[in-house]
Amino acid sequence: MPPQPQATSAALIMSRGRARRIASRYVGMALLLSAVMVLGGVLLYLWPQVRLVGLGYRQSKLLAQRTQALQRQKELQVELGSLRQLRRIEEIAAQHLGLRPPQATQVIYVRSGQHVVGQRRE
Amino acid sequence: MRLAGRFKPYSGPRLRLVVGLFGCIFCAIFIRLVVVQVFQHTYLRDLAERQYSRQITLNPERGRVLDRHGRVLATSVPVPSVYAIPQDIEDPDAIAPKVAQILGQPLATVKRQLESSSPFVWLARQLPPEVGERLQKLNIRGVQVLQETRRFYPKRYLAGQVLGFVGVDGVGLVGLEHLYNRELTGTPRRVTLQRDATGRTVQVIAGDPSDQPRGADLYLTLDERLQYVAEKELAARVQETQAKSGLVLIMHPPSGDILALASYPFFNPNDFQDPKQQVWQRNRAVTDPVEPGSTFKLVTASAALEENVAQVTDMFYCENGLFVRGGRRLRDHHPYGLLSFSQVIEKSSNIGTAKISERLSDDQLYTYIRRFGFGEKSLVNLPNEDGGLIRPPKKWSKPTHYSLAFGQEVTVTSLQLLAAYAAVANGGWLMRPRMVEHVVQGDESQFFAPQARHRVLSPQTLERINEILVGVVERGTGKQAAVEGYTVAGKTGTAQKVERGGYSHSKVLASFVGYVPAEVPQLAILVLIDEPQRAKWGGEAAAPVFKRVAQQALYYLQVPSRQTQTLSLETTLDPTPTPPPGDRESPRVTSSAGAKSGEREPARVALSAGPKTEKERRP
Repeated sequence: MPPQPQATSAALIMSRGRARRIASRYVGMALLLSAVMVLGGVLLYLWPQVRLVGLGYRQSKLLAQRTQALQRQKELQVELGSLRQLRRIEEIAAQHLGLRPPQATQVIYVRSGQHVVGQRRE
Repeated sequence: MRLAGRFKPYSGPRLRLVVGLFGCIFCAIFIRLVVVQVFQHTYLRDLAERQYSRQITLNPERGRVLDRHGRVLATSVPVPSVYAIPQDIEDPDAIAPKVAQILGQPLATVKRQLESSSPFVWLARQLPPEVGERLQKLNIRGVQVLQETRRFYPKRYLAGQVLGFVGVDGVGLVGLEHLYNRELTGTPRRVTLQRDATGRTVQVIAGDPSDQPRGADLYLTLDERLQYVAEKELAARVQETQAKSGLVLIMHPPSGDILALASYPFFNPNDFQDPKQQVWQRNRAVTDPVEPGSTFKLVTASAALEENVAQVTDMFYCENGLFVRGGRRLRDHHPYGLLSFSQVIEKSSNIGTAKISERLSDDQLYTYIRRFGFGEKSLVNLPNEDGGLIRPPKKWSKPTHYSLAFGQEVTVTSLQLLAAYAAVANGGWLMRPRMVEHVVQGDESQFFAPQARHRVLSPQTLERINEILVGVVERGTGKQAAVEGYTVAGKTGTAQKVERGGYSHSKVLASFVGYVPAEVPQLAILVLIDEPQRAKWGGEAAAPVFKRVAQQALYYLQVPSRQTQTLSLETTLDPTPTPPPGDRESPRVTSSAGAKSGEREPARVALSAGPKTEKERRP
């Protein structure tokens, strides 16, 4: 008769080793999953932060551009104001276009009720 | 068994030593963590914030000054200024030539500044933008470019004395810029930014850096176009008559609004540091009182009629040009015999006026002088106003009563004199002159409403005075003030200037003050020519300016003349919609026909209709 207890003991050792391998595989997977989750969490936290910083840089750059544009607008408004000097306009009207002030008899006001038709507009 | 034996745990003293050591280290770390996170938390947080956050102050942009239609008369523009921190400059000898060349300054001056022992030195302020850019490109350590704002007056000389100017430090020094400096300057605001190691802004922690604070905008009663007309005609006449200087003021009688205030020689606030100009930066219409001369006869005539001591038909003998009263020799510019009350004023007889004044007591004359607003400030919102000088009757000498009757021994400002005539044009109501209409700060607006001070004359007297003043232009000394198609009322004046304790025979102030149209006055205008060399009388030197200014102003305000054709239509031809009442348009006449006898109605020109909309205010 073959020795039965020895065979049982070997099988038991085999099954224990298998169980240990299986267990260590699960532990490894759990650890891997945890690491992935932690990494994912870190990425989820960091990504908006990095994005926020990037947007902050972009915002400050756009603000600087806006300031420059406003400054340019102001310069152009001043230039427009200078060009609209009545002295200059009158010179152009009189010398280049040959215009002259109307005589009293040449002025006609056309009215409809209280509203002056063709009234001067700014 | 072999395996178990190989990995038998060691629990000897060495392991306990290592575990103990690590335990101590962790304990130390934990304690330090508690100290840092709990006990030093606030201090360290503040320290960190100071390192990565920075608080900047946004200085407000100075408010604009605009005319009654929102046309910009003064605004601020960002410009570069250059400063140096001498201790940061390594080689002043090498840098100075480059900086001096760009700034256009002497090399020695720049070198001296760069080698200065001061921690901060301005090299140049308020430069053209391209100069700042060139310096910035050089990227010199210790030489920095800073953005400042510079006040700019795009219309140059226009209303220069009224506007005043702002110094290099942004503080209003003269004129309205000085008087309304607090409102125009505004309040600074702070913004907190997060910065990285290189100084770049990462994000805004508190505040909005794009929302630049602004000072209040000042809306004046001035009309740019009327101001231009006044300045153009004044300058031409001063040059024609070879005079020293001149003034033109235009007022809207019902509101007291000053529509134009021209003072020649002009002052360009953009070049306020020019020493040649500094003499003319004063607003002489309110700061310099003068003897008014014959334009003051309005007071004497009004007082006599109001007190019912004389009638317009009363006759006065004018002594053929020479009369002695109170120890003083009174003279007329022409010898006159018998003149009626009206003719005395029309022909501007000093002797006749003195005789009219004889019917008034000292107190009566003084009361009417004060009632017309002389001897006290008109309370116009302009700086450094002078109230003029009129002594009380108890301090009068013997001839004072007669001198006052035709405008001597009294000083008045041009604005006071115009306000007095505007009162006659405004149904007898003396208005407080107004130069600033609105102060607008964001959505808030402070409105300076027209203020009537008191009534000067009764309607009956006004009617007679009006007829007399019309007669001055139609038959008297002011014929050259007549405007074709309109009825003008006014009075000429030729005041001798005081020189070496007496009256000069060569230096005079020629003036004309009046209003138009006389039936329903829309404009009161004063013209004053100082020391004319060619035409010395008020009717010759000043009256023509009145005519030219009034004519152009009436066209501009669309006041129909007798010759103007007005076509009334049943339907509106203009395809553009009628503006809402709140909108500002060019002044227009709502009604102007029909002069009524008795109490005259106030003028009916709608010069403005409330504040501008927010959209119009902000470009």
